[in-house]
Amino acid sequence: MLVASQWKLMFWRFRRHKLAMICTVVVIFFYVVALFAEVIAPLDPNKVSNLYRYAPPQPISFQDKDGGFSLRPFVLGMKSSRDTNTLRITYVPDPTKRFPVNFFVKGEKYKFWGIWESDVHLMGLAPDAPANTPFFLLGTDRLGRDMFSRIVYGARISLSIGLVGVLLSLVFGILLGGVSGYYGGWLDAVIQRIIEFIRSLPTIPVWMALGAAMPPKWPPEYVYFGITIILSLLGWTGLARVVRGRFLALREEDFVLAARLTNCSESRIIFRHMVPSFASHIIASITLAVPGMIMSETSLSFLGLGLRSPVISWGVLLQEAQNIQTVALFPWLLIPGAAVILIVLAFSFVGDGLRDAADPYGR
Amino acid sequence: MTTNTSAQTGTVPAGAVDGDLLVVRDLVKHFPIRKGFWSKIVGHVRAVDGVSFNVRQGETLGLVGESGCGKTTTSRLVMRAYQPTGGTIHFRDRTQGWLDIPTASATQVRGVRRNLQMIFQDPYSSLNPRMTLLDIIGEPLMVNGVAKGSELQDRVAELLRLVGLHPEYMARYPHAFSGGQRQRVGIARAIALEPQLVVCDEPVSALDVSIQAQTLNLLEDLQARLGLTYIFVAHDLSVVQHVSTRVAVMYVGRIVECAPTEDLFFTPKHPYTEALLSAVPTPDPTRRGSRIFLAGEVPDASNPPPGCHFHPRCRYAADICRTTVPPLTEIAPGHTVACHMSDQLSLTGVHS
Amino acid sequence: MMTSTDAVRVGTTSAPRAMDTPVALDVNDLRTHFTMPGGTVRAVDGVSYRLHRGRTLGIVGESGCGKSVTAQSILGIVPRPGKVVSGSMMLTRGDGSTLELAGLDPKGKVIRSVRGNEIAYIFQEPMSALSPIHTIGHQITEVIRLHTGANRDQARERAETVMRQVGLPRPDEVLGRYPHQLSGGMRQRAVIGIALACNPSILIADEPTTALDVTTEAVILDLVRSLQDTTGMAIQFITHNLGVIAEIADEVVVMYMGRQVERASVTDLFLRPQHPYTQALLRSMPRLGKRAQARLEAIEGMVPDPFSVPVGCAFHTRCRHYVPVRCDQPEYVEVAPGHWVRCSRAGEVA
Repeated sequence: MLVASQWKLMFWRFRRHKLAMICTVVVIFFYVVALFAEVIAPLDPNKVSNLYRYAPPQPISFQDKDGGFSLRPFVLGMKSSRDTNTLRITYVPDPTKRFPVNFFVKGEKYKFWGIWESDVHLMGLAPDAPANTPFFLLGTDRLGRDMFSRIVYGARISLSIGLVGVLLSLVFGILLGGVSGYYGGWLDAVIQRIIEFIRSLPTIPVWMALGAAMPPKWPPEYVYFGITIILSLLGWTGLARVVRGRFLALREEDFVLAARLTNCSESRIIFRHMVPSFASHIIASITLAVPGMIMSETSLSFLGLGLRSPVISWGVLLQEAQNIQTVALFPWLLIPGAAVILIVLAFSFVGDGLRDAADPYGR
Repeated sequence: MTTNTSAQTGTVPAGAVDGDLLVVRDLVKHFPIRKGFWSKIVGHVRAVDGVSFNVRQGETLGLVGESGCGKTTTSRLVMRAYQPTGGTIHFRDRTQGWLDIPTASATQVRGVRRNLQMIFQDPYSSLNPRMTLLDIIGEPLMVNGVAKGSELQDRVAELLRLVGLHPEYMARYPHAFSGGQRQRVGIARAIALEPQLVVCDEPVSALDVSIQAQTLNLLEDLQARLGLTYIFVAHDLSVVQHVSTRVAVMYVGRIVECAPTEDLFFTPKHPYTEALLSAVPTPDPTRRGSRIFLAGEVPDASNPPPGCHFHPRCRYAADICRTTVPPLTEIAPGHTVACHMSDQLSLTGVHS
Repeated sequence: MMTSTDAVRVGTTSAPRAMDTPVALDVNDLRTHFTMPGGTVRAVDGVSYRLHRGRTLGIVGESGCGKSVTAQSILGIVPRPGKVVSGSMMLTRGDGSTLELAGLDPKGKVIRSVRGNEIAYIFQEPMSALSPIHTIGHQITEVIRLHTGANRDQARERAETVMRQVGLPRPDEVLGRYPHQLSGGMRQRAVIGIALACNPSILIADEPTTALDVTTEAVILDLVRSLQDTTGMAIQFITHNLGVIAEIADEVVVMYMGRQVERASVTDLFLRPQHPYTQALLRSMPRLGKRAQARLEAIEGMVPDPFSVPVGCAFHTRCRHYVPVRCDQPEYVEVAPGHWVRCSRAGEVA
């Protein structure tokens, strides 16, 4: 006979879901990167390099001079030349110059989380490389800023906005959905009408209006919180519906009635009997809501309504790739989009896995 | 069980006889039917429509009827799971004396609930799947401040033994148990506070045939041991006959007949009781005898027929039945029936 | 036949009949297993019986005994991962030819032409058998047209006949309704009507009256019985309710943990039960009309976990007549003509 608790059972079921497990690793990886952005980014994301504008990615190579395998990774140097017809500068790898890549090298100084000063980077060129040696793993943008470093820093904003936004909408959702489902009656009717109204609003115009309402002079951190609040103001309705539905269903359960008939207080009924019964569902819903938030932030910023330079988020980075010509010529500017796709898919699969695992009488 | 030792502060309700534990008078519960955008009330389901009965200390009152007759609603009104539309439910609480449950204050209700418990039909949905048996059975003890800590564990262990489960099961979750075992857990929870009255809502109908007898025996043992009084709600007449001291038959929100078990089963006085008893399939192929087949359907409780609700399906119906509601009258000691024709009819009960 | 005009009818159900008519379906040593990560559940493990034309075979047992899986095996609708692993199910068709159902592709053409046409079925919950978005008339005419190739008018006519047969007055009105507009009893009548629409030679009824009230149940049982008298179909009636079995069946199979423990005529089974499980079940039931009963004679223990069925006699853990070694390999033996029992101590215990 089984004596496992609900959470253990849920974990066992989740573990059987291979794709969800892989995606969990992906999600964790992304958040670790976001957390240690300063360390992982090899360069200062705002450092402009006039020498290398729109430089293509420099792949890390493990091939030694004779074409064999070498454990020492390196990047090739870059030669620039001007196209005689278009007058555009093009960069080609220079196989004669090889710069070994070192780990945990000293580089530019930074303040980790704005507190601790350090200069250790996860990767970087060996200290003996000459100054201004290019090290752009994913290329550079129009100002010659390192895309890799920018994506790493962008992850911090984009991923945290998803979490904070979902947490905020969770608070709204649980509060309003719970009140709606637990007490019912006219309160439920009013909250449901509000939810329907909010859901019927076309999102982009509302974002535009709210985005425009934010004073342009606000410092970046205000804008950041403003955006999160806008997103969660519109995003709580889905969670509120889930919570309300669970409350409505659980209110009719015999074990809730049994608890009431043994003099359990309202708060005990809610927190001991009802919430644990749908906590797993809520977690699954949250996981499925995070990618929506990330997408919203990305689209807002992409449209220029959300975060703006010099703040770095994936949406802001993608703004650079708005012009079809730039995209055609410098496709590496779309890499932040790939990051968005990857994290959104990963979150969705994790959420799916959690949802399946949360169903106690599953398939 | 202590009956007269404690203080009895409340006033004795009208119609209560010495030895009564519960006196229900003219109980009415109407559920509104809402329709349309503004949830306008367009009618009422008269789930319980003027029900009166007494429950005596130590007895088992069977409440039978077909689905939708209001038996479950009646039992839940007694538990104050719903507020009735009208009527009184007087309960002789061990410590507070006579109390009218619907009008009692919140504090009084808290007291009453320790003495009034319920066993549910569905052994799956009535136990919280996220709680261990210790939490489930111990909850009433803990919430009411009866026991906590290791004393709580001891009490739960004792309760588990009482219902025939191993005390070691305490740390397990309900999903590890079969339906019959879960129902025992539900019974342990109900008797944890040593209540005076236990409402059993179809306690065996979700169980396998071979488990039903065990559970019925357990309920009888506990009744004898703890001096419990039961209201036993069920649709299975053989089960009701087995456990009940007295039986009340309900039809579309009203009690049509109430009598001591033997009287009701062997000499029914209401045509509906007769038809109901006749319809029960008996496990004896030599008894494949005549059956009364009722035509039509149980009427809709939001729009019941006038007069006696049963008249459209009754083979003895006379003109008066179509217009006048028959009152519940006592035609023999302890045998009440709501039928205009009861004194003229000679109805068939079950064969012995 | 029942109509709305007679408000009340006192009917008489006929006495049990001998299984002396031609065989309609011969089930022999049927085994249906479910292979799952936790082990193999032998839901049906060696079940044999015959359905005879115009007769009713009752299959009785508790939840998980395999009685429903038996029906699903015949119809080729065993849910995954269940599979008929061995045994035969020989169907005798109208033209006298026989058809082996065991090896058929569950999604194939042959079984589909048999299912709903020659073998009809009704389930416990009438709502699940009906589509909520189509009228009763639409659903029944569709079945008729699919199986008989009748045109719209012919199908409509047949539908009205069948609805009258199952005692639904004013068929044109009922046919225009949606399932939720009917009461439970009327719905189950409609389901029976749909099942009978193609004149099946076999009807499999799985707990058809369990969701109904007793008074409705009595009417439906009577209806099934009288329909059998007029159509001569063989009925396999599955239920957990011994009272219902005594009422409707001519022959009874008792199942426990996927195995057949006893098979006898309904009279023999109820008056002279031979298997301790049957005996105990009959004894443990509270009976209507038994005066002043003391305690019920309950069966000890619980129904075993299907993943770990006790070896040897599956009932031995709960049997009070169990004798070690002797009861380890009970054979299925005929103790009296037509009375089969799987118990090593058959005849000694009562």
